[in-house]
Amino acid sequence: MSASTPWPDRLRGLVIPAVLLTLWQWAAHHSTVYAYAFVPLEQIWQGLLQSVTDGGLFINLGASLARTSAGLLIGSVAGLALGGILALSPLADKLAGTLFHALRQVPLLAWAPLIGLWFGNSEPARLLVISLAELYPVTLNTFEGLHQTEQRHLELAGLYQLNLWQQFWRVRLPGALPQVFTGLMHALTFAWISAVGAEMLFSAGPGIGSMMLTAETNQRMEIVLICVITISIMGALMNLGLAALARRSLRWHQ
Amino acid sequence: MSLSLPLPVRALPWRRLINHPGFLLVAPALLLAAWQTACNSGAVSPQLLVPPVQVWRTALALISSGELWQNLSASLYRLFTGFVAGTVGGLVFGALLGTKPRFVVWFGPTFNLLRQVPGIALVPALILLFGVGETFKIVVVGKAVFFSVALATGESIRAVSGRWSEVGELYRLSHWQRLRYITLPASLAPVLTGMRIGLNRAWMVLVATELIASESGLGQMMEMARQMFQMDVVMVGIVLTGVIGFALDRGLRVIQRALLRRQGANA
Repeated sequence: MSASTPWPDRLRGLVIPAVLLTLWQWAAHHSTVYAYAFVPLEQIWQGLLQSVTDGGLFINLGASLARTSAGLLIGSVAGLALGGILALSPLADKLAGTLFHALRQVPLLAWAPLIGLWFGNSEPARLLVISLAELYPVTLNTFEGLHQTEQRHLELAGLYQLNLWQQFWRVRLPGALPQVFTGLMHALTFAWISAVGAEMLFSAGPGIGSMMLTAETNQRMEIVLICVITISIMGALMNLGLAALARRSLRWHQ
Repeated sequence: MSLSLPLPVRALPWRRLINHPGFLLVAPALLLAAWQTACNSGAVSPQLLVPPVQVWRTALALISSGELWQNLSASLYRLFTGFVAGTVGGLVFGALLGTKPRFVVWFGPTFNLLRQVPGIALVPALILLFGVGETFKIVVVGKAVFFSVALATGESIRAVSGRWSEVGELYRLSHWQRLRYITLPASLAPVLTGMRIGLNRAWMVLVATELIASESGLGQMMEMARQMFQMDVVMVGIVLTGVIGFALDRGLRVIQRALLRRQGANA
């Protein structure tokens, strides 16, 4: 659906969600089998009001966002450094490259039990998981971006007899920026999802993931659903925000 | 062109050493050696670090006791069931998305809305809906695969019908001929890529799900080992999940290349 969708079509697009919501409401009131699973919409609304007014939702959301930002910072810095080193030094690339790719095959949260053994059910454990989540996309994209500096740009740098540092700063780095931004965008998505996952696995302390898990244990489906919706909305907002930011700062590149 | 090291080394022999394919094994070998040494020296508590030799022995023990295969097969069963369900659904839905603009109008927004929900965030909700059993795990896998395949199929079919529709009209091909000779071959590569990405995501989400809530499976094996401080079992699990993830990805890539090569040969 683009901006030029005519509004009758927009309305038609809303029909299916409306139908699903109606079916949900019907099942909530008339079915006894999944009584605790299909909670009526008004109960969801009540749950939302309650978690907003007693602050629970915002406290947990804020904790998750803080965690994500911290992990994003650590992981991105490490990823940029690692990607830079791998791109600039063929020795480092050959040495660490295979190891990096081998470790990359392991699903991210599979590292969680190991991290849990070493750090326990703690904040460093969660931050480590989040940082690891974005280490890979940032490193890979930084590496690719720096590696693919166009030949003619490098020849130009040679003509001007730029030394190594100048060559990096003025030629390779600006050329690599679009790719680096792509890496950061992927990293943001991974960071948010892995933050939620890490909170579900190391569920001590505030966070949307642990809030959701607690609600599941207490069989409060309305809280669970509110968390799911919040997580999805935040994820979508982050993607949109970063895409807009990337477009704005890379306008010179076009 | 790459920068060279700021070291006063003679170019030729150094370069040859680095570029030798065997050099790639140096880092993993060094890592294993350092790991073993750290354990032997007793500097690290055995609870924090288990020597690689013991990991290997534990792996063999798990295999012979059958416990490894039990958990592995449970995980793989869920993965493949969900993959098949998700792929079939995704292909159908994606084909509809790609060929019928009216379908996009009615179902597109719902599809894009539901696509935003991360798989792992659905786990508690699905547990409340289906209970902790096989169903909810298969649904999690299916969801990841479905959206990836549907998206890839829809976009590739839409791209194909744009470019090649004129060719079809020129040759006056029937609907089925067009499907067989134009749409299918052209969208094969993107669809297979979508399947591969979906499988990858599904595996990641399945392991995570089994870590959180499961009575069997590789993830559950690792989580229980974590609680019992059996780091060797955890390491076996890590290696295995990585190997399987790699094998799945490689396997689909090989199939993709084989199919495309046959297609190229026929063209």
